[in-house]
Amino acid sequence: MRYASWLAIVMVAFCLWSGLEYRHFHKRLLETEQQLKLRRQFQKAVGLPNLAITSAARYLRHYSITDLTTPFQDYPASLDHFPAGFAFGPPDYSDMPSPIVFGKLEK
Amino acid sequence: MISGSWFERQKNIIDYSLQSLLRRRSKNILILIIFIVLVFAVSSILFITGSLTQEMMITSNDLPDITVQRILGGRQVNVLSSYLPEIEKIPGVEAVETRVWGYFYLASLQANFTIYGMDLNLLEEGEYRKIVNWKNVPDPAENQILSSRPDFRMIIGQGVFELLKDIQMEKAFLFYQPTWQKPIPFDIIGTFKTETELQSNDMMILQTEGARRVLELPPDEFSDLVVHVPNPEEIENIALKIHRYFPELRTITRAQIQNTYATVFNWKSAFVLSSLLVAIFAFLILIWDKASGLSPEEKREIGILKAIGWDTDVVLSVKFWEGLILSGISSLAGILLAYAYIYWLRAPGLREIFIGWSTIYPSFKLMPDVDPKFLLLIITISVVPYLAVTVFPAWKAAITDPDAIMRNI
Repeated sequence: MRYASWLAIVMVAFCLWSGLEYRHFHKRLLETEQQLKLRRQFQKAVGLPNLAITSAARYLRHYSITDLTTPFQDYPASLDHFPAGFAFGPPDYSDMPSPIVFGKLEK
Repeated sequence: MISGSWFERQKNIIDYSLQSLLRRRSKNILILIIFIVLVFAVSSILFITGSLTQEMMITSNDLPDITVQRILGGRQVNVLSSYLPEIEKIPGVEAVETRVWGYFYLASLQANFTIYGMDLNLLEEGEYRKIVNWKNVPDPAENQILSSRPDFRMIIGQGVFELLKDIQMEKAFLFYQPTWQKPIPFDIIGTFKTETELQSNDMMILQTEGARRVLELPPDEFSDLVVHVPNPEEIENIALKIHRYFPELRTITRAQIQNTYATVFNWKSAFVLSSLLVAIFAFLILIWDKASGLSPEEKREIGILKAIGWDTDVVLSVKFWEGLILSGISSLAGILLAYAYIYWLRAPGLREIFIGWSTIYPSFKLMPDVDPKFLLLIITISVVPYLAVTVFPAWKAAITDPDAIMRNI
C-alpha cells in the first residue's frame, strides 16, 4: 500500500475519534441543559456563590465574598498555604466603585 | 515521477514526504511526542479552567443583587440587626434579607462543611422541592421526639452524605465542639440531588435557629445581609450608597461576583501562568532547533533533488507536507486527547490541584467548554510557526547552487 493511503487511514481514524467526542460533547450539553433548572433553583434558595470544588479554606470555597485581606495577604498573586490556592487567581477589585469621599455623608 | 493531475501530483509528493519523514524516524517520532504533549497540556488546562468558569457563570444570574458584609480591622465580622431598618429606608431597596452561615470543621474527618441557615419549610414548597431527595422525614404521628424539634433538621449535600455514611451518621448528625456542654443532634431529612453537586456538595442546610446554635451566633447578629433591588440599573448606586452611609460595611454586587468568576482562572492564576509559560518555552526551543537550519544530510538531499531536475516549488511542497503532516497530526491528537482526559476520565491528576487538601469534593463531571476560537488559536500557533521554520531553511537550501550544497561548501 502507498504511504499516502496510510495517511488517509490515519485521517479517517482521527475523524471517527473527533465524531465520537463531538457526540459526547453534544450529549453532555443536553444533560447540562436539564440540570440547569435544578441548579438555578438551588442558587436561588441558597444565595452563596462559588463552586464546591474545594473546601480546604473559606477563602477558596467562597472566593468571591471572602475578606479583602485574607487570601494573598502578602502581595497579589502570592502563593498561599493551601495547594488549591495555586489554581486561583487573585480577586480583581479593579472595577469596584470607590469614589474618594471625605467624612460621613449626609443621608 | 511528478506528472498527471494536480491531485495525483500532490499524492506523489505526500508519498515522498512520508518516506522522508520515516527515513528520519527516531527524530520525527520524538518531535511528534513532544508536540502532542505540549498541545495536550495547554488544551487540558484551557478546557478545565474554561469549564469551571462556565459552571460558575451559568447560575450567576440567580445570585443576590447585593451582599453586605461588615468589616472590622480588615476582617469580616457579624452584622448587627441595627443596620437593617437603615438599609431598608434607602429608596430602590425592595427588601433586606439576613443570612446565617459559616463553617463547621469536623476534626475527626478533617472535613470543612459549609453551614447555611434557612427556613427548610421553604424548600418543601413549589419548585424548590425538586432539588432535594427527601428521606426519613419524621412523621409527627409516629415519632413524637423528632417532630418536637423542628429547629434541628437539616438537608445535606451528596458529598457530606457519603462522608457521614462512613461514620454511620447519615440519618442524624451530632454537632459537637469541646467548649459545648453537650452535642447538638440534627436529623437529616434529605440530600441535595447530584445534579446540583457542584454547588451543594459540602453544604449542610440547617433550620435557621439550629444554625445559630451550631455557629454560636448571638441573637440580633447575622453573618451577612442580602439586599434585593428590583431595578438592575440601581444596584451599583445603592451599593455605593450603603458603603457611603456605613463605611464599615462592604458591599459586593452581583456584577462584581461575576467579575471575580471571570478572572479566577485567568492568566494571573499561578497555575495557568506556570503551565502556559513552560509549554511556550518548550515549544520555542523546539522551533529554535528547527529554525537553526537543516542537517547536512537534509541539505544534500535537497541538492540531489535539484540536480536530478526537481523544481524549487516541488522541493518546497515536499517540505510543506512534511511540516503539515507532523504538526497537524500532533495538534489534532493533542486536542482530542485533552478532551478525553478532561471530560471522559475527569482529569485525574489535574483535578487534585483544584481539590487541594479538602476531603469533600464533587465528581468533576464538568460541562464541556470547547470554544472553536480557541481550537483555531491552538492550531494557528502550533502549525503555522512550525510550517514556517520547516519551509524557510528548505527554501534557502533549494535556491542555492546544487553543486555547492552537495560538495558541502
